[in-house]
Amino acid sequence: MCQNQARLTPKTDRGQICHHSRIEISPPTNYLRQFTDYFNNNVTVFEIATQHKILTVTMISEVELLVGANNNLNDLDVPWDEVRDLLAKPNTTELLKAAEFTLPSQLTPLDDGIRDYALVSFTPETNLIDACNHLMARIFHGFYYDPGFTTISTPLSVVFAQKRGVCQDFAHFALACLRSMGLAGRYVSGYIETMPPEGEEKLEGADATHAWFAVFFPGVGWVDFDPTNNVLPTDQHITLAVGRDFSDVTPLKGVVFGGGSQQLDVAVDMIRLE
Amino acid sequence: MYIKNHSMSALPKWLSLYLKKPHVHDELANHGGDSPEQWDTLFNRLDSLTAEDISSRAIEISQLLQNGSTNIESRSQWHFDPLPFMFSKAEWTLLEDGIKQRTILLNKIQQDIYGEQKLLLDGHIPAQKLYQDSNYLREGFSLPPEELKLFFTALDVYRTPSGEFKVLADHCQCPLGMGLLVESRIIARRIMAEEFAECNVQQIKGFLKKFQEGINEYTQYMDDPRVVILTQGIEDPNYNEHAFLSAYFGYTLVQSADLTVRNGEVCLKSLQGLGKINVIIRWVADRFIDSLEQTEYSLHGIPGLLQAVREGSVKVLNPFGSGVLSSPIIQCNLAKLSEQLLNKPLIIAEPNYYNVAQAETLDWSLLELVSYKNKQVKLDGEVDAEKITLLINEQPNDYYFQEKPIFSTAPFWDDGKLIAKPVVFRCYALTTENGVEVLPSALCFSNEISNDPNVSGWIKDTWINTADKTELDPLNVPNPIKKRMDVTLLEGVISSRTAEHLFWLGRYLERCENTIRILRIFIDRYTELAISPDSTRRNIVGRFSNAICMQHIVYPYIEQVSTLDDFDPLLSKQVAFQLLADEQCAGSIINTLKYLSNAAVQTRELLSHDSRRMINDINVQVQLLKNTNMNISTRAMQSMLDRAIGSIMAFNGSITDCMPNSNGWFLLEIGRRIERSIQITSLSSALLTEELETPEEMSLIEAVLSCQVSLVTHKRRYRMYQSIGTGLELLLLDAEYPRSLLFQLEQINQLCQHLPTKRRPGLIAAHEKAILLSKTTCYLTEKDYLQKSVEGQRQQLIEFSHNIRMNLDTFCDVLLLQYFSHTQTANKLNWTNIEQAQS
Repeated sequence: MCQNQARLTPKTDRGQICHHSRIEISPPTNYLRQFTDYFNNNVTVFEIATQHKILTVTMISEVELLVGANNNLNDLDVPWDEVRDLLAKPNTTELLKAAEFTLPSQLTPLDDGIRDYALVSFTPETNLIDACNHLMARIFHGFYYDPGFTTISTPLSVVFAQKRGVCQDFAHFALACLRSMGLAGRYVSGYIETMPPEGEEKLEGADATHAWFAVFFPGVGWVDFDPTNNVLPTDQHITLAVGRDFSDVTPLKGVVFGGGSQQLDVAVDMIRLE
Repeated sequence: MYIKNHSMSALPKWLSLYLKKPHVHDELANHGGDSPEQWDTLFNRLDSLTAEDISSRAIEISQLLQNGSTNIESRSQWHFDPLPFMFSKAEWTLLEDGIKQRTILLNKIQQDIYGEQKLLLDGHIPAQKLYQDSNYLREGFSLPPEELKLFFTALDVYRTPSGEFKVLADHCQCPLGMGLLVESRIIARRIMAEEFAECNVQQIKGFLKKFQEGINEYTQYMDDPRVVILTQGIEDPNYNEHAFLSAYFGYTLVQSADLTVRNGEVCLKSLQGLGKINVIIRWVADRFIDSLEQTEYSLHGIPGLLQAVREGSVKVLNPFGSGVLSSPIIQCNLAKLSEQLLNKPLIIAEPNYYNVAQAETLDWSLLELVSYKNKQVKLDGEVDAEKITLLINEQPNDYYFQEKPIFSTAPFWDDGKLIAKPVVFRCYALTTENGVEVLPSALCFSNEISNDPNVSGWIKDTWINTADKTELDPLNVPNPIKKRMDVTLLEGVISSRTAEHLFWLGRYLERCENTIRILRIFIDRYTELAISPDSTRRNIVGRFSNAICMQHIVYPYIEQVSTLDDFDPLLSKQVAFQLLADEQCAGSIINTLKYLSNAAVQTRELLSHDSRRMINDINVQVQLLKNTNMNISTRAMQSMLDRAIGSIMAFNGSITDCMPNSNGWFLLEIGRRIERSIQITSLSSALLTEELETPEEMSLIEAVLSCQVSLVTHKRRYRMYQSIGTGLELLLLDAEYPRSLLFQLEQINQLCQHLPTKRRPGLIAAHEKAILLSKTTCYLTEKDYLQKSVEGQRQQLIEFSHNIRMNLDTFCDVLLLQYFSHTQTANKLNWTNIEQAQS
């Protein structure tokens, strides 16, 4: 017997179109609904009334990636401080919605150390895109990818002090930097395609869940940055959900009635359809 | 200005003494208009009363008020004043208009915040501050807009020295105090019936009727609508009020654990199984209402509740999200928002406020500092000036200044005289289809109340004068909303949790009674022993003493034969005292009384006024017992036992006539019968299984029979010959004798018919089998069989008792599993330690 909320349906936004998506759950659900949350994510609510040892949630989606979306970004001549000032006095619905993401959240608290770190990239009148790229590169080179070092509950200050963590920590850290500059940054949860070593066959389930951050560009929208790989996502990232931080986008939340301990496993397969 | 038109010498002394005192600004002495007729009418009636008369009224009130104390542990008490507060019609009309206007405004703001957010875009509400407010609930955006309308709200108003009314706070989530107000009105009408009639006081019944109609609106097309009141439970300092409202309106009182969501519907776990709930009146904050969907985990959340609201299968009142309206960021912008949304200034507004920059040139001693982020932060401009400077230098945008309220005072009766206490009025409003209704009264309380539940507060009933009698609500019979006949037959369902508490209430009542009887007999026997010490008496006392100490005949009724080992008669009194007042001793009377009171509090909403008074009395006795020590005299112990048994008898009496079985009351009876069965078997197996010399045996059976109030019957029935066997026959095997074991089993069997069964007709359930087996054993057993001993031991009696006991335990286990079990504990699924991208 369990109740769950899944945020596993890919979004449709400026970088991708979700053509269709279906969820398969075993054992069968006795209740299944969908709704759209505050951040416009698709949420699947389901309930299983029977006793079970294994719950399998499979989401099969067909997504078209709009690889050209970021083509003209480098031509944008927008100093970051101008964007900051716009966000401070939002006068359009778009800016108002973005302004919410300039605020610290539970998992991205601000402090002076993080601010000082960010200021190195965000020097006066620097172009927003350049500053963001700079910040992303510094995180990529300055932080050590170390699975197992952190958990969901590791505070950001530890990640910053030790300069290690996983994609989720890097995204949170980047968001704290952006927000301490008065810029709007949001957390993105999704999948990433992995490439097998030269000459080897790709393994099933080898792709992975992933997390990165996005920055609000007035007039353009949200632009993704992946600090774990130091790239602007083009054709290997798929967005599932966005929010202020991880707690807004948890891929699968649930309450289980009775039973003992649980273990959660995730496997991702990304197949190119062209 | 009451003094203006009155000569002091014409007034009663207690009143003139009060008026002569220096007042800052007092409701009676300084406010209320030039000729406060409303006070005149009151004091014209009261001027014949002496100070003693009023004091005796005050005492009577304190005995009647029950919402005051919450449970035994917390000693909080409201002081309900014998003098009401009087509002003139003119003053009240102004307040009423102000409350209506404000409620309409708040509703519009709520609609906008959880809708288009025009107010944010225009900058009327600073968006960034709102976004950071913990009461801005993003879940609200995915709910249907009609689920976000205000229903029942309250606001606290005070009067400034210039006579204006200002608002201290709005309560849009869980507006507390209406139960207290209703209860105090009931008491006021009793104590001050004549004054009440004379003063043409506006009645509150009409409002309460509309409150109920407002709820019925959602359920009028349903066959069997279920409305519940959701409370956090007895730990909530306001639990008594929730229980009071539940009883007053006839809605089932539930806790989060009683509710579960299935198929997008909220269900109550009741004796009959899961039953759909249509309306939830919540006394749990909306931030913590759904432990699945919301990030902030709470024990009081119901997983899936928000999805049920989203589906429209349940109505939650007050609606979700309304907490944000009480946030500083909304409150300090209300004046502006009123101009914007209503094109009118507020009739009753907040105290003036200033941002940090504006306040630089002002006199801080008249101001206080408020934090946008934390409502609890309030710093006095005079006392905390240094701290304030520090805070505003750090984060000037997190704070604002607000005029310090200077409350008016009102006279309160304290220890034979009137004293002035600052007062605030909590007013209540209801938003209906036809507009806003305002409760024509207010909870007038002294703002010396702190949040500490142990600190007492002072309250007054508030009387609104009507100019002429015709305006008073005629006593009208409510129009039935439904014309269907069968509605009258529907009674409230009770939750499995309440059912279980009723079962335990029955057990504790019986346990208490029995333990008291045992202790009485024990005291009687050892005092007798002191007068005429002989070996038979000594042995009887010894066996009882050991049976008590080893817990064979008191809870937890350990199954063993009591012996005479290690008996010291000099310790008898100590044993007696421990059984009476030792909290370390599981089955002691003090503990049983505590459990009893707790179980009664848990079922409070089903109890009558008189039953609750008995429980209050039991609580007083628990306190008395706590304060006793070993030096207590035997006589004092006996009188304490008398008082305790008196309360229990009175409680039993008060519930006998008003227990509809459909409300689960039969469970109390089952509990009582089960406990009594266990007592009878444990008494006989602990004390009657050893074969002894005839005189000792006879003394022992007499003592046991006395414990079971059966001595006289035994003597009358077995006039010619009495033995252990006849005693056992009466106590265990006589199906006609109301105190026998078999009689209890027959009763339990009967009562089980009330339990809903899922079995096919013709098949009986496990708990019924257990009882049937015990019954049959009793019917088939002869007294001689039980009396027979081998090598001094009545082995067959031991086995008989043991089998009965096992069956009784099985019965209780099945009851627990089948009927009382709340769903299994909910565990949160953790999305942690998942391997993230490897690249």
